[in-house]
Amino acid sequence: MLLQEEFNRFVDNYNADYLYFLSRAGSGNYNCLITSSRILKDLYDMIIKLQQVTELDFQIIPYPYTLREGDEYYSQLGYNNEQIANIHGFLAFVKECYGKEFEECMEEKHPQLCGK
Amino acid sequence: MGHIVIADLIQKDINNLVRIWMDKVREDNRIISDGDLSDGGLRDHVPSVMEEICDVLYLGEEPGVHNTREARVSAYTRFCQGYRARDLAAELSLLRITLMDYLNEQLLSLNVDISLGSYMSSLRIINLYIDEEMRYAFSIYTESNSPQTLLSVS
Repeated sequence: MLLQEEFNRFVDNYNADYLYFLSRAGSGNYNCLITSSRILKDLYDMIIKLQQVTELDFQIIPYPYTLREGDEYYSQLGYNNEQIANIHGFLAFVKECYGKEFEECMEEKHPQLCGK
Repeated sequence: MGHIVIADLIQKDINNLVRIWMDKVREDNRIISDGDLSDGGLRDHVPSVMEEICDVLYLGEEPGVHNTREARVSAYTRFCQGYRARDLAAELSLLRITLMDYLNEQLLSLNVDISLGSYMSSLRIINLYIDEEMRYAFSIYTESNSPQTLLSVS
């Protein structure tokens, strides 16, 4: 049975992964980021579902899985203007590469993954 | 079929609905947390929430973990903006009322082909969706060890 402490660590790790994901997007290097984003999304969904099923507390709040936050939100997380522009740029990059919005790509049953 | 009719009605008028909701929030003396928010900050994820409500209606799904992501984003953002929990609850109540008043008005004034059963079912989905956001909001407001972070919104 999952304990509260373990769940907190799980969420903490997700949060770290989410910030790392943002950092990668912020660097402007979008290589294979779509694959990472799908894995991160699944992890987030699992956390939410786990919390619902186990009724453990959100003592640590998971960052919501989104790339549609405003500049002030990313700034608060410590990203500079260039990084923030690159984070927004990733959404445009996905639209250009896959012909659909980022969220649509995330919802696909057969996810778009980067090529080998 | 009825869900699609209701979703279409909302979808075509989201900008107007958001504006009506924003006016209600600004006029509501119970809500004070919005005082520091610009219109952009108040508006925030609400259009996306309405889009997501439409998505759930189009699919005729029961709102749950998998289809209420924007709702969680919205609740989390308000938490980070330093919103009082009671003010978020009042905002969500106004969102519910805005949608229901709008739908009632549309259905009474337009010749829309929808059964009472379908309409009630659609309202149930909308109510459950907003309840999901409220449920998540209660979780993060009451369970979290993290202090609310004030986001300055211009």
